[in-house]
Amino acid sequence: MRSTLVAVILVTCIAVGLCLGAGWFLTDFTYRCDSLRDNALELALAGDQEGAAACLREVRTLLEERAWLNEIVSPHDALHEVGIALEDAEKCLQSGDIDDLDRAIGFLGECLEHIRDVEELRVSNVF
Amino acid sequence: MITLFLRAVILYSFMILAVRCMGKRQLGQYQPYELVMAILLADVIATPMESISTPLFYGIVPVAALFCVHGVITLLSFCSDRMRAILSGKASVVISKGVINDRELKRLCISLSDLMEELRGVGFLDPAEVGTAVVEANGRLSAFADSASRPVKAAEAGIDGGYEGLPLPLVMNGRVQKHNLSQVGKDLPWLISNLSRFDAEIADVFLAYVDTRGKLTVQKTGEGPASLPVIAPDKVVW
Repeated sequence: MRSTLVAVILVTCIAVGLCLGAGWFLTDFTYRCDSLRDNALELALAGDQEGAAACLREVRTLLEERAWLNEIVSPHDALHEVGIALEDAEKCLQSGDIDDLDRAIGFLGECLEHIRDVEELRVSNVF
Repeated sequence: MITLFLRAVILYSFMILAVRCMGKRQLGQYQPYELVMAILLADVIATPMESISTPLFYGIVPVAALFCVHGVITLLSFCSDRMRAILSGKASVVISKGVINDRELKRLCISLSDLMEELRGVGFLDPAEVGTAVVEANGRLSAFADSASRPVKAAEAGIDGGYEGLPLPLVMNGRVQKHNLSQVGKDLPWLISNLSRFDAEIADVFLAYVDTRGKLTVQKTGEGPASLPVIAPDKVVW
């Protein structure tokens, strides 16, 4: 009985720790990407193409650096969509089409929000 | 493809660990919550096992959650009879003093033919021979013959059969079972000298075991068994 109690407490702690850790990690990642993507759009609208490109590169670096942990805690399809949206935004920036860039960056934000939403603890997610 | 292979290996190992931690009863006779657990476990790990784009943790975390709930239910059942009755149900006596309790059968939705089938399953052709039959909480039927139909016990006949315990294998497939040997309270030279009485060496022995009457039985590879007393019955310590 004692060993069962210890095992239950231990497994609960590990599982809850893992879930909270994954939640914190993904939220931090998506908010940082979101902030960079907002900056990129603002800079592009202000005519600073170099600054916008640097922000998008930073998002790419963040995505690549954290890929191994992201893939452990988040569905790969959702991460793949973020990659596609980011690439689309980079191409729009290179072509200088601000409207398309606005749309691509909006889609990138949507993909990031989807990852965050799935991980978020709320009643609609539970049921 | 190798990823699928590795994921299956990891999940299988994890499941073995989880089921092992849940105890022996999980393997055989299910309580209601254990049956639910067994059904869910198989389903929960199936998706991450076959879909590479789903993280393994999507299988491991639900298994951990089921393990925790199962543990809590087990503890509650252990600590409280009331909780145990709610979670697992109670045993129901369906035959008492040789009389079939039709009200209890109706309550359990067990037909007479079901009962007869279950009785045959536990070795009773004639229901009249059954003194008591109980449908256990896990759904299995336990039946006991009435005193007129069951064989006479040695104690009732005034016979003392002596202590009958577990025979301990000392050599299996030519390998000495050191743990059993120490449990018998003997050492390797003792075993070798006793095997020599059978003209056998350890490597030739297919199976050698000592029973609680102190008799060593040796079966050499490709030969029949032979027995000799090696320990006085009152010196048997296990």
